[in-house]
Amino acid sequence: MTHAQATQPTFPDHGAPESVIPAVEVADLTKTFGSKVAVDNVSLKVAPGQFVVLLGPSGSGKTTLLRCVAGIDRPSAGLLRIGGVDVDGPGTHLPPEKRDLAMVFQDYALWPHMTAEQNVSFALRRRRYNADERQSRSLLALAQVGLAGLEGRYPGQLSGGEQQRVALARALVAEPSLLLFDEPLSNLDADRREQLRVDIGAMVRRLGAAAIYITHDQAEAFALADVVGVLDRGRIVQLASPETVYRDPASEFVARFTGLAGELEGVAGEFDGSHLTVDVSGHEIYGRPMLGGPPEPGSPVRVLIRPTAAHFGGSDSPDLNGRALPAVLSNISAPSASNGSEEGHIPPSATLDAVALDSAFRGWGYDHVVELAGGRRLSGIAHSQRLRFESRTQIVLSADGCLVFATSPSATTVRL
Amino acid sequence: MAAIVVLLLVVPPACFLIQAVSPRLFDQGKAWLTWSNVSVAFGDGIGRALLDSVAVSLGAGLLAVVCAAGLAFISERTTAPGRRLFVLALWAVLLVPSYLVAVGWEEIVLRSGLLSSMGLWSHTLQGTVLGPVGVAFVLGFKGTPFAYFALAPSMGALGGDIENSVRVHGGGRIDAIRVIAPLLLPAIMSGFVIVFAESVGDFGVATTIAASAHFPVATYTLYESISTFPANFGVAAVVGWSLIGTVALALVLQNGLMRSRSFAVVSGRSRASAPRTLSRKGNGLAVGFAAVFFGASLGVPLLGVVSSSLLIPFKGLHLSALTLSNYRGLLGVSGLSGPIRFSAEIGLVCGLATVTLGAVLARTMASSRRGIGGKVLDMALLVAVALPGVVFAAGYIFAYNLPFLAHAGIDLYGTVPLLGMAYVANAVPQSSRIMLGPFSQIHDSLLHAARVHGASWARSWRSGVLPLLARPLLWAALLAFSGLFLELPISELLAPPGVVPVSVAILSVLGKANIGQGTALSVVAVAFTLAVVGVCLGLFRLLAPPGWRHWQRPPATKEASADTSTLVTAEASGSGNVLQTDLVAVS
Repeated sequence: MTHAQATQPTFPDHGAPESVIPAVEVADLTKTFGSKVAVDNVSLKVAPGQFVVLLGPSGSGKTTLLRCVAGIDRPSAGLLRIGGVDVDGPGTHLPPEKRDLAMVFQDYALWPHMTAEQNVSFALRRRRYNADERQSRSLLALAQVGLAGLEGRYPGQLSGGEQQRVALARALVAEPSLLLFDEPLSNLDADRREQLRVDIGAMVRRLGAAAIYITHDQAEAFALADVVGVLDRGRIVQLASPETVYRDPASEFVARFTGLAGELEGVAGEFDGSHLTVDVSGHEIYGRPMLGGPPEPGSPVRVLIRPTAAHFGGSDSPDLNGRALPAVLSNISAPSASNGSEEGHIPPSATLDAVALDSAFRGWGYDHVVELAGGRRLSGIAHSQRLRFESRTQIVLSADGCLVFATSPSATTVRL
Repeated sequence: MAAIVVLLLVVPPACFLIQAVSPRLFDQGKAWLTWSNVSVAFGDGIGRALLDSVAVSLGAGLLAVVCAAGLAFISERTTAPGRRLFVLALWAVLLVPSYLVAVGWEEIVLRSGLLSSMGLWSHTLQGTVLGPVGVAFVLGFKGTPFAYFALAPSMGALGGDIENSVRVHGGGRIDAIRVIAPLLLPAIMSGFVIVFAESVGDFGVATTIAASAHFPVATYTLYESISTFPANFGVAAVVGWSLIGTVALALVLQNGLMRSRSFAVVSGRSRASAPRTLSRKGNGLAVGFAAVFFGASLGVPLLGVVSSSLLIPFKGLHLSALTLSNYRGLLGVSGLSGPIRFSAEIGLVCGLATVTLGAVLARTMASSRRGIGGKVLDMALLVAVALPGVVFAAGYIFAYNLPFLAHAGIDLYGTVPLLGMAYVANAVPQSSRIMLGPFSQIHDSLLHAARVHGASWARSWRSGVLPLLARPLLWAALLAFSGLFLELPISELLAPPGVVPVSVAILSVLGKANIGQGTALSVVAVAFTLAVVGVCLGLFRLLAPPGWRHWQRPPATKEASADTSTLVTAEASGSGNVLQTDLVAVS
């Protein structure tokens, strides 16, 4: 997908029939604060029941976009429709309480003077239930998020993870058609983050509500999303499935933001129909051309290397067969027929000399940082055994995970 | 909102102050621009009065900082007994007006006072208290709460890792103090400048001890300029400018000093040091220090006022000298219960108006998107806090007595509504700054959460936010009421004929040498204020839902984690807003 295409994204078909009214439609939405453009002409559709994750660095506009959808901020331009109803547009602004949605905030936003149950039942008042029913539904929601028995606690008496579970129960209890998540896991430690991430995914899908979830963590995005939208400087630069975003990033920015082992610069060589030869200071490596096709032979290119494409090779290097990749990445890295690779086809690979600089124990094995000739470093190279500091080794680069982007003609070639 | 602030806070003082150089602007003279008022004022001795004000205010600032540092050290860094009562006692010091503290001391040391009844009267002591030293001491005592509220957070935040890093790198206890002490400089300077500004603008001590000791200070000179006939607003305005200039100079000096280097000691990673357990001797010293301070600032003056109201002068300290005649007199022929009723009524109405307006202004300033207007408002209110009450009062007298207002049908001069407006205008800056801290601590997401979960704007505030602000609002209302109930300079200058606020009544009776009845009225007034405060706090405790009262410190449970609500963000204390953090702490 080109950058130009990304500014007018076409919503990918993920099984939703055309006749179904989208849960959210955003058309050419712009939000400015003074002269600063926070969201720049964004268009987006979310189907009912679909889980969309907006991924981007700080300042990319994802929170502003979410607040516009919530009705907390009013867009400067563009249209916004929720469940087929115009909520923002010229002369129209439906306040947040009329949009039939719920939201989980980054700082939890629990009212500290209310108990957990009171916090949850607050969201039920718009449903016109009587007090008994509100209470029973609130208790059930708290039980579903694992907080049975803690309904009488005030937020100050709960841990961070428990507070965020109360916030999740508050969002789910009224069964809204749209759920918004503003980096809900960012204040939690790693262990609780993973537990709650699983719970959020399961509960939202069980409820059948559409969800827009923002995060700057690509692993979290890939784990939760049906569709990932990558934001950069207020624009959606790629909107696609997690697999597509990882395998075929729309730009170098998307590739870098979704995880790289390192980068090399070189000169484009021959293209064999699926892979491109790249000359990196006299060493031939192979990669897949991005952005629509192979560059002209002899033109400068940049090779962005996914961690899954780099592994140790050579007779002295440790065996990789026992290595266990993180589940998300191992699924994505596997070649499949759908992306053009033939069944049983082994992509070409290249071997480079390297020196081990660092190794970090990860439980499943070790993550290594190596230095190639010329000082370029590759990180996140997994192995079941630790390599000694400054030990010589070889790195095998698999073509499928080496993403080749054409650079400007003035780009210089790095000498290895 | 901007119009209300301009009309209440900016226009009256501005109209008055401009008379210093342009009397013709409002038909007060012939010249559009002249320095004659300046030369007349300084020829009349304003320079001397200003120097006196600066001298006693510097002394008061030093005394307040020393007392506050001692109290803050004891309360924040030690386990000395009774330290938890300091904040409450300091609020009591804050609530009692300076003229009552001064009158209390007078009643102790005068020839007809308590010491005399005990046979301990000393001419030297009387001369010391009823002179510059006494003025500086009373102002210093009154200013100590401000300095304490500026110092205590920094005192509590220091130590911990900073102290540990000195010790693990080979430094001893003395080295640790050497490293830590300079880091307290911003808090010390803030406290000092606030006390200095409060002291320069004080009218209560100026009109009592200073006036009777013939020790001229600037605020009393201003008062004399406009209370004698014919009123000389031009000269009074020069005095007003002098007062403002003095305070501004102090603030500029403080800012210049603070900008020269970074003094940041509080961050999200700061770890407070554990309070030190003192030895028996240490505890004795700590308790003794606190007892001396609170005795001198609160105990002795109250004793003086109470004893004066109960004892027949020159009859010694015997049971036969006790009398309730002064209290009976309040209800009898003197008709002095009227001032209490009037001040209570106007204090209630204006107190509520002050808190309402102050809350709106505090919310505007605390808003994450306040813009340039909010910053201007912030600055205007900060300046207004430093504006002495007597300048405000003079501004209201002058501005609302201008003929063109009467021609326009705005005839407020000499009316109770104008008195009320001046009360509110004078109290709103401080009230809004007091509430700025609590309002700043409320994260917008609490409102947004209520809105996205179905609550209207009004219900979001009512259910989601106001309960969290209930205590600070109540305290701000009680503080406003107490301040207005016993307010002096505006009451003295703006009370219409036939209307006598409590403070005016007290000084009027004391001025007629009816000391016993004046002090009896003071005792009743202070007791009434404390009773109102007590009843309101008691009702809040009885009637408010548990969550409103305990949300900041919910009862601990075994499973509860220290990883608690993130909505509270620390607001660094600074000049003019030192009360905001402790308003929460005390409540």
